[in-house]
Amino acid sequence: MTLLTLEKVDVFYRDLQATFGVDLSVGQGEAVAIIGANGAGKSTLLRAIIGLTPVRNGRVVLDGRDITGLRCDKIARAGVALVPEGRRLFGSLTVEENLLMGAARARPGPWTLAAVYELFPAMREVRYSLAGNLSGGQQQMVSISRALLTNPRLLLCDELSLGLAPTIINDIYTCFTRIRETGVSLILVEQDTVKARDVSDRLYCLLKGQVTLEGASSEIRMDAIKAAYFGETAA
Amino acid sequence: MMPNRHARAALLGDYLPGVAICGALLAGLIWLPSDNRLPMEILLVFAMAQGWNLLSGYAGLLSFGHQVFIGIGAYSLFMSMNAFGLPLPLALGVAGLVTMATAAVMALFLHRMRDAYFSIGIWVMADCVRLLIGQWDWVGSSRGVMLESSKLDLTHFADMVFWLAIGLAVVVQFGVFILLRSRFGLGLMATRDNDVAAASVGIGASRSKVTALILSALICGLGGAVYYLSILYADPSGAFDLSWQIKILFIVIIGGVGTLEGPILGTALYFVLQQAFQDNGEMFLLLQGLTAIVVMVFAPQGIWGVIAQRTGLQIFPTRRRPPGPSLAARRPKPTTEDKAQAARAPAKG
Amino acid sequence: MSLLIAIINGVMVGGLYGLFGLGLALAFGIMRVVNIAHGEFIVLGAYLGAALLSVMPLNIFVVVCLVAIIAFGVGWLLQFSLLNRLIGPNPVPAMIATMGLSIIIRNALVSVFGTDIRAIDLGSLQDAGITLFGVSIGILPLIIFAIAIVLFLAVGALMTRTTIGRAFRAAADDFEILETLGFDRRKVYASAMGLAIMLAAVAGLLLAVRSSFSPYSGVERLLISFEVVIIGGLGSLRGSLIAGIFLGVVQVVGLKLNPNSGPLFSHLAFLLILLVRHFDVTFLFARKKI
Repeated sequence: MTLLTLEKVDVFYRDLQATFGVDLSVGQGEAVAIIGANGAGKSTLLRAIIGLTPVRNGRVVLDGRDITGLRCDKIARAGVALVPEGRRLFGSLTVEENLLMGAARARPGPWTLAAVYELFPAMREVRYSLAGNLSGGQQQMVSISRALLTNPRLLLCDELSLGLAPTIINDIYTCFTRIRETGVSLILVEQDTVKARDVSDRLYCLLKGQVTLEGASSEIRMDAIKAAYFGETAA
Repeated sequence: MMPNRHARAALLGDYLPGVAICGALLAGLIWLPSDNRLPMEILLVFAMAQGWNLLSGYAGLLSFGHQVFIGIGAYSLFMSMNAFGLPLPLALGVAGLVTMATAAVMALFLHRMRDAYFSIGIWVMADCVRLLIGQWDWVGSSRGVMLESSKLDLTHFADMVFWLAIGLAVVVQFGVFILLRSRFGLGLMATRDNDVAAASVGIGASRSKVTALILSALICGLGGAVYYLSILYADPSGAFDLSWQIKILFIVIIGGVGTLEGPILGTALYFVLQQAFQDNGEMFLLLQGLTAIVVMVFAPQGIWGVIAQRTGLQIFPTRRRPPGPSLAARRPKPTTEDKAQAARAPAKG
Repeated sequence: MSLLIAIINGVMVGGLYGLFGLGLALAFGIMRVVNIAHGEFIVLGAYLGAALLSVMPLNIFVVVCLVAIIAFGVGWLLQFSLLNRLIGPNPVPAMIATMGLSIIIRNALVSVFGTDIRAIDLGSLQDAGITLFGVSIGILPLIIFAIAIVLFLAVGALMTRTTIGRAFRAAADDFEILETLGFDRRKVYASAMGLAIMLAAVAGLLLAVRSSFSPYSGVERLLISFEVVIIGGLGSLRGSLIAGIFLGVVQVVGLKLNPNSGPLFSHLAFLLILLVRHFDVTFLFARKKI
């Protein structure tokens, strides 16, 4: 069962074309990683899926429904959530208020305030602090929780590990086992290829806006990834 | 020798269309079958609009307070003639200096303000000056002040004022044109488009904006001085009235903010509409308000902005054309970028 | 003693000035819209109230509620149908469009009501007063000040206790992320403008009970609102109230000293504050929390 399908998607970042005819699919409950260098078009692709950046050509289909060109809030309520690059918490709201924003327009589902506090118990202690004052790792937990509280079917995670200490990255990825138990599908955009391969079922590699490699994470060899990542011919 | 001749030919090409069109427009105004009153007003309002455009269009500081400079120009002309007995040419000079000084003092408050803060900050100051003038007995407080015309040669007065207006309009149009083509003008537009980037290449945002404010004030001050000279009477509720600002703003907005051609078109349109709605002032104002909204929604760059965008036409070319191939052809080829990207990529992996 | 009365009156007018500023700050803080027509909506509230009172003998509280509802609707529609198209990184298009709107409202008011200076007369309530420590204070100013304070508290509660209020603050921080959480940004903005215009119109109506107005009063009201925003800061309810009261006291005391001064003294006080604190815009932008 596929949940999300991209068909020949072109997205532009301002006047520059960021992706060229990208085909991609995510199964129900599947975790898909997208890797690639800076500027490969990964973040732009995520923005296009949730409707923050318009899709110029091609189709985006969510569970059989064409969501191409739909407004972002409608796509969100159809069950897509985004953990954005750089966390982007509402800095003048408290942690709990940030979480409440996630819950306010939520679909029915397993994630409640109590459930996310259980997932990240450290958040409970800082719930009345302003989100802007938290450490990077704490902010990432809040950002993930805020997205989870919408009870998405598809969770888009953009560079979760960016700027975080390795132990914190491990803690956060450990929680994804719990998150995946609820049946949510994942798209993880990562620059850390090793991490991406470890936590995903399948993997896409983007180079200059084009898919250069696709396959089951456990079967792809690191040197193939390297070749696809840098665009070198297998020499 | 060769490049010099080319440069001179290019320079001539840059000036020729503007000179020709302005000449034709002036000739039309001079031989317009009416007395000189309306053409004079058209020319003065145009000059003031261009002055406002210098600040709001090119320096990026939207002003809602330019009526203060018009009023100050008028009052300082009147007072230097009435109280100090200066002859008209000197009094005009004094009017210019006093307006510039006023702008410089206001800059003390305004130089750190941007966007809306500047717009309304200058408005508050303009209102302040209006209220102060209305309280000040030496300048006639709220009753206003009459110009003592005994020293004026009233036989040729109307013609003289008309030629003053022509002179002001021409000097403003070509003065601003030359100014914008200078290093100063380029710096001004650079700071409008990006403060931080301009500062990083050594263009002081604050200083060039203050200079633009002062020059803009000077133009409106002289415009106000000549306008009220022609009617020999000024009062605070007229000379400092917001309606001056609305008029100027409407003209520049509809013609095209940040273009030198826009205010010419806007002035023409404004006076055509004004004549058409002569008997219905409220309707005319309603129409102005509505037009401002419609222009902002559908063509915020104004009429000339749209024309320039569609055709690339420039009568007053402020953007210098590069010699040789056009800009588009000189864009770096994609391959260089790709190579650079490929070279950087391994480091990030 | 008369100075004391002037100060008390200034405080009461200042509560309304605070509301003016609060409305302007909401629109600016949340959508970056500088509503040049804010003053005209303040005056429109007064005319609407006067018109309602002249048609039927209503209780002042009923009139306030009616004006509030209508103003909210007007603000909502203004944002939804017009201003949402104009917002973006460049604040100028929205400023000029609202400038155009202010011209339209001002001249429409002239066409409908004429240029006469008016006041709203509430009959017996107008003259009723109490004497506190030897100072007689009108009942009506007290009621008006109380309404202003209640409105401030209500906006504070709205901002922190309700989803829409939190959405306003979140939209000021990062509207894209708000959209990814399922909020329709256009409607959040429309509600915020509804609230802003509602505050303007209600405060304008209440001020009209205390002082006269004409179609041309809008400019003065806008400038006062703006001064409140700059002195009080964009993000603070308490700042708006204090700044409003400060300007109200300065103005009323100034009028006592010189009956023809109009808003001159509050303008001067404002400029003085600018000069004293070496006003820096980044300082305000840094704390845009509502």
